[in-house]
Amino acid sequence: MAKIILSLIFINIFMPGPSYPDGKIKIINHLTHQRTEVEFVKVDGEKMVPVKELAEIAGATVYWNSLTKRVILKRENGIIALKAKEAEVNLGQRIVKVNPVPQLIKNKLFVPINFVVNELGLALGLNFSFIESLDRLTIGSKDQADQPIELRPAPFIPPPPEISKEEQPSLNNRLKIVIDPGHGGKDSGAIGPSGLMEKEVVLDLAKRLKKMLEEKDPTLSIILTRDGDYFVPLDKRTSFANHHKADIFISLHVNGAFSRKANGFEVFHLSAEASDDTARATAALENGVIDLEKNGGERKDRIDYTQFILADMAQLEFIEESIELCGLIEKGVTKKINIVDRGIKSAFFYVLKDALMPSVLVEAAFITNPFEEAKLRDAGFREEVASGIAEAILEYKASYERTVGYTR
Amino acid sequence: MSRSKKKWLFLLVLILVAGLIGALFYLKERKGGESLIRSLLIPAEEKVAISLYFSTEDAAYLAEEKRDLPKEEEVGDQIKLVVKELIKGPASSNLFPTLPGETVLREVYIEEGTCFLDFGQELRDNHPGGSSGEELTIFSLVNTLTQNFSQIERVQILIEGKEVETLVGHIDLSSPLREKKSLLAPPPTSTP
Repeated sequence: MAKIILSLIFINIFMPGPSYPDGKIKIINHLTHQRTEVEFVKVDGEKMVPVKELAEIAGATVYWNSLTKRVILKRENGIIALKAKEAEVNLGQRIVKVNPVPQLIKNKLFVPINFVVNELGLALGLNFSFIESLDRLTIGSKDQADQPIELRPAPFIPPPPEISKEEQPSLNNRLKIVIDPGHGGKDSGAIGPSGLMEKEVVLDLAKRLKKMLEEKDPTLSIILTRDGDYFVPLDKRTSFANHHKADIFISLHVNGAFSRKANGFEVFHLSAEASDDTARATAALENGVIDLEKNGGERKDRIDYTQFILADMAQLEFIEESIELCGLIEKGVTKKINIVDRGIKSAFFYVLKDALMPSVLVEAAFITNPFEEAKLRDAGFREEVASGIAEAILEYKASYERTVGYTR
Repeated sequence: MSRSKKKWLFLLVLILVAGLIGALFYLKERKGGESLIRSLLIPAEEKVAISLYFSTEDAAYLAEEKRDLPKEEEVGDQIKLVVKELIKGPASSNLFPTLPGETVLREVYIEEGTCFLDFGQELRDNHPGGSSGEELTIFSLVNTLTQNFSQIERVQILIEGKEVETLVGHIDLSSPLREKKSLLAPPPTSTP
């Protein structure tokens, strides 16, 4: 009996227990002359570090989606998306396996320090080096790679990274939804046979949806890309959502066609198929068809090509989640109103392609169809469409809150 | 032949030629006159079968309509002819146009498998809008050209000689597009 108790104690000592953290890693940032530290945890003997904190210290722009628990890191031309339990990480030029897999611990995403040193730095144009025995991580720029970093005097002092207090966890827990009423100002959008304008309908829809969501769930933060009749360029709408670090982006539109008989409701997500050039270019890079070393950045088109790959990468990470949201919106709206269900579709939307969050584009009905134009004029109809979308968003939120839990 | 007779004959030939030229000019201005002139001047065997893609009634798909068009020596001229047929719209009453009748194709360029179609502002100004309407316009052009011209892999639409973000606010036109097969009308039994 004593033997059993003893062995139990023994196991307890050597098993990775729920202790958190397991220790701290000192960080010396040669770019900002900052000294700080981050916590680490040990998983399978590997030290794991909170990647969001680390990337912020290194000066990368960080997007944390509190709903899907995905982290997007951006610096120079590099974009990397990481998610708990997803071992495969797309680094633009290639895909690597992260071992141990990224893990969500205390609502922070942890990745192995080896991954940070060997892969992350390179992809973000940084040089990380780690001295295991001292638990010390140094950060330098990529061109310092071959230099003995600690002996090198700093050649320049770039401004320190902006880490605003507002982006700390307390506000992060508040789910942010950006609603984008399409068109506006000089751009009327589609116009119905009796003169109803898309820009007016979608602005009203957006306002209704905002009000409804705020009433149903006061913890939500809802922001509109425009709240009046003025023109907003497409790229500004997306960068607005990215800037606000929105968790969901919903673009509201009404449809149009040459055929006046065309009718119905449909929801779009960004298509992966339209970026088949991206896949081809990635394959070409992997196969060494475009040799980055040999070309040495002399050819302009090579640079453009790589940027194209990187620019397209981030949004592709969210397609799965966007499709899921599309499904809920389709169900939510067609349940509320009597309308032809055209289903879920995909296309290469300008306003969605750079969105760093799950994003959808709703086409509520055909304003070019006389019957549907009449419906779109009706406040009751708009209210029902908005409530269908609102319910879908709340269900989407609830489903993530159920499934994305803590791993430890 | 007397001198006066010769004079009369010369005058007659002159009138005939002037009349013929006048008739040609008249026909050219008339709708469809150009193709009539072509069919008059070009032998019947110099035709090429082209598949044009127009909108279905529900504006959910593109459907094929075959048309015999005069064969052109230059690919660029052939493309212009095909796009003009798309602008004319479908002959079938089941199908719907994808381009406004006012559309003007300014120029066509081909560069390493990419065809650039330069349209005037009319295409944008007369477009009904909507994601579906816009997508059908774009891919009726893209699918038609990639289907009929083996040397064309991708199509980029320009407006007034310039690259544009979108046509009417939805689909990204900032880079060349490939054929979108999922827009082709499925046979009645198939699943979406």
